[in-house]
Amino acid sequence: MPEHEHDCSQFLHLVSDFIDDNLDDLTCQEFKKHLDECEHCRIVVDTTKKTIDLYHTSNEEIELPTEVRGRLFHCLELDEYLEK
Amino acid sequence: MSEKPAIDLDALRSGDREQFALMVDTYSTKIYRLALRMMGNEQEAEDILQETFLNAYRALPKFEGRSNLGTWLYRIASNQALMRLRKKNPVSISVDDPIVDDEWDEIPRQFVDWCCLPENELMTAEVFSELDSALDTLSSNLRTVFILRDVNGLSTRETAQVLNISEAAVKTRLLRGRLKLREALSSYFSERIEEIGYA
Repeated sequence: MPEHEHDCSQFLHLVSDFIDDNLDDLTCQEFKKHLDECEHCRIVVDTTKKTIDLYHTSNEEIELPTEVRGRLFHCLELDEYLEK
Repeated sequence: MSEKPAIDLDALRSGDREQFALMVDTYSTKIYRLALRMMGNEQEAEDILQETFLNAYRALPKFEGRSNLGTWLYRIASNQALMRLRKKNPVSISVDDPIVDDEWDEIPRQFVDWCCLPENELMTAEVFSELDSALDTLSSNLRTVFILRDVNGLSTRETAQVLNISEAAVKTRLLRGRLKLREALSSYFSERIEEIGYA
């Protein structure tokens, strides 16, 4: 990144749009070309994607504890629907 | 966010208990996950879960359906969480903080490529704890957007609706949040790679 710092800071603002596939074709091509030439930016993009993936995956591991669900239904006076 | 078609909105609005129970069952895990990520505390997550559905029940007759049910519930839960965070730390937290682009402080400094680490190094309890610690370092504005958008999987538009901010503000906050978290995790994994001698 230090060798092309000006270019890199411009691309840095587009990292999210690149990851979310929100760039127009031309900008996307330029972005990919820059990633081919700049290892630091390539690492930033890859590790940002992995960061998002880790948070998403870890969130899926969280289950609503049975006792929390039970207390929720009770406080909402929905006990009769608890087992359904 | 997928809406379960089985929920009858008209019946729900008019107080049908079975439909309300169905709504609670459909969204309680999602709301609990959101609250737990926001607060980092199981007891507060449970309190927010209960407050969300109690408030929703009271407000349901006025629910107009302009946003979908899930987005509406996320908005109630996010507001509950943000109010609690504001009470804890009234100085630094404001839902209405302006986005100041010239305060750009997310210049990457960590360039370790840890994506190649094996799954058994990435999916550990220690890493999950590190994810929580990194999330705690974000301001509530950045944290809320990141959790809604990237963790809970809402679209940019839905996240904007939940927080009543523009889509541009969502994108700006999301980029800043993502880069800050990446930096924190890169720092952690950089040390981890040295520890385990992974090349």
